[in-house]
Amino acid sequence: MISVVVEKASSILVERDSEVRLILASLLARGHALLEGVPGVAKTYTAKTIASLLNLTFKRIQMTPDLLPSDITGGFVFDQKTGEFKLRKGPIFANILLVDEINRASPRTQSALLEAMQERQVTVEGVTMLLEEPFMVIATQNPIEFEGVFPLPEAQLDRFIARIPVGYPSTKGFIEILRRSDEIEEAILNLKPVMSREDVLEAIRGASSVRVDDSIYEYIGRIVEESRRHPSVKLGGSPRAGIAIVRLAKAWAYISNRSYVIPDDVKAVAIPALAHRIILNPEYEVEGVKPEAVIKEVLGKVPVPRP
Amino acid sequence: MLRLIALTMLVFILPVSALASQSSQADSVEVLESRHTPGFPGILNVSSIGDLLKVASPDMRRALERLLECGTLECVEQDELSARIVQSLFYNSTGFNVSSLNTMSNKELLSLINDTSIRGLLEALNTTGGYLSPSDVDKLVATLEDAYRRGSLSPQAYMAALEILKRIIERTGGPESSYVERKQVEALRDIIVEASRRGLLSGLIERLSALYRESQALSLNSNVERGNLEIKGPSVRFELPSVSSDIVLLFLLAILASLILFNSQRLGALLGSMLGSITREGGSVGGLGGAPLVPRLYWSSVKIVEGVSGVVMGVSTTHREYLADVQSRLGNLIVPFENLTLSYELYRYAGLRGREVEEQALRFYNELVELRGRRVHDIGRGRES
Repeated sequence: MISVVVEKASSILVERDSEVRLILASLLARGHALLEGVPGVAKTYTAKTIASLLNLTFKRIQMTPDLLPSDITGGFVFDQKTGEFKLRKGPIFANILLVDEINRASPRTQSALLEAMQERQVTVEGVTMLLEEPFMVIATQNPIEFEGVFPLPEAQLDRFIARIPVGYPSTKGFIEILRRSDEIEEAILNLKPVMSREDVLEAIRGASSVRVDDSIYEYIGRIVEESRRHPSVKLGGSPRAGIAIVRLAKAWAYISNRSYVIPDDVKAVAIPALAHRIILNPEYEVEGVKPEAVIKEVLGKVPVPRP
Repeated sequence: MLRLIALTMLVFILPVSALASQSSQADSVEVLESRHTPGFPGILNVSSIGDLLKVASPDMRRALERLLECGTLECVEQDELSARIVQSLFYNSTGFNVSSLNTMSNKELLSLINDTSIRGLLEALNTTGGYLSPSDVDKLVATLEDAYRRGSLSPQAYMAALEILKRIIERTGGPESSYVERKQVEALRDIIVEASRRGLLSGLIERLSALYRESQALSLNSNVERGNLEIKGPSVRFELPSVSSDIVLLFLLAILASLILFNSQRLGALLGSMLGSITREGGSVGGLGGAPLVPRLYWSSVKIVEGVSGVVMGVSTTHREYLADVQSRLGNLIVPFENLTLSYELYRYAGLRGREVEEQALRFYNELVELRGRRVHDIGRGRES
């Protein structure tokens, strides 16, 4: 069923197959995804398409510096008719929440959101409410702008199971987008869900029961350890990073219609799962070394399980 | 009957080749090791070049020694005979003429690079033409080397990529072109060693012998042309050089090795089918000792595919990546190899066990061996005709 979502989304969005798969893998791994890319590369369209294909409640927040935590979580408002305070639920009470330009919100608002992401519950004026499963935040951010933004600190970036870079399409893809732009917009508007909430929950259970051989755990362990040993890395992958790789690899295998993880799954998810969690030494950062390149190098060095 | 003949041959060959390798290692280390650049003496341990050195003429010996000592391409090129030996070895093992590297345009060189990402990177560097710092060069060389080791760059593509990088450095005034050149020489050496390992020894011996004869004829002709042919006394007396019995034995062994390797394709097919029957009877495959049958069959098939495709499986290459890498080079061998890869995956990672899985894997393996035997046989027949 989940492969139908991938197929449908890929047929509408041009050259976004990998991003769609990674977002779905994050959903099945019970994580949250951060889409990073310059404006105009279909980050929001990608998130909206996936939400439309899944019959889940979908809400969107456009982050601004003056947004307050209560604008996200909601609050108690006085009902004059009944003379009581009633809870007005914020947009966070949804299955899929699209947070556009997360780095435009103030740190206070960001942390309110990130706390909800981690705990999967919201506390409003002392009342704690569990968020309905599945719950996933798809945040977007533009890495280029420096003014009027509050970059997410590393500890908060760590809350995202995957950071998914969304790049420019190829020339061929770009021409296809130009040709089909009206058609794409219309297709997204008219999308019909192909999976119900129960189907998604079933898929989450299915992904968590995917088989992982011991040698795969060792392989992931070596990748994370090697990321700590790399000379250009100041702070490498944590155990949480390793757990993220395992979960994403299982979900990736599930999306690929397999009930077991292979090293290729690990390689496919290692960069999105690890790159945003490592901190480079300043001298390498100045030289233009990117965490993605470091992880790529690590993957090229760590032996895959044999025989 | 065929099995009996093959076994008899094996019984004969093994002690003889062991004797030859012992003798050549001992002597070659003693004679040549001190003159080698670091890391290079390995070539003497893997082929009978050492043996050949003993029976070769002084010219040939000098040429080979120059090749072994050499640190740069120019150094090899200065000596015509050395250059021809290197070129012929490289050509024999890759089908690519290394001497054309210098004369090829950047565009032609780029077209040789099979890895699109590396081609794009070099194309961009070539267009922008910015200064490359030593650390940039280090990283670029490491990237190319890594791609080459993983098999995503073919030997000629790797050489071409290094040549482009060298040109960019020279054009932008970078200090590291000699480092890149050293890498080119290292690649040449690797390819020569690999060629010797892969059983191109017979071709090598034939080629060197031909070169030797040519060089002898050339020197004789040039002496005649220059009128330098000295004839002392009333008649010309031809003498055979005095040789010890050891050298005669080594020479005979070299001829024997050459004959065996000349027929190695047929022998390979025969041994392949024998191996198949040994496996069916539960014997060991590919020296993987105590590993279970399905992984053993898979890794043995990887060795076969490496030989056929020329793409070596890197340590960080997954079974699926390797399958994708060799897909276009295997012809009809791809079907059994693909099936065997899937069997291995199911056994290794899905935990699928049982006699059925093993039998299926064995069937795919035997199919692979049989097809390879047929392919080798066809190539042999093509050459004969």
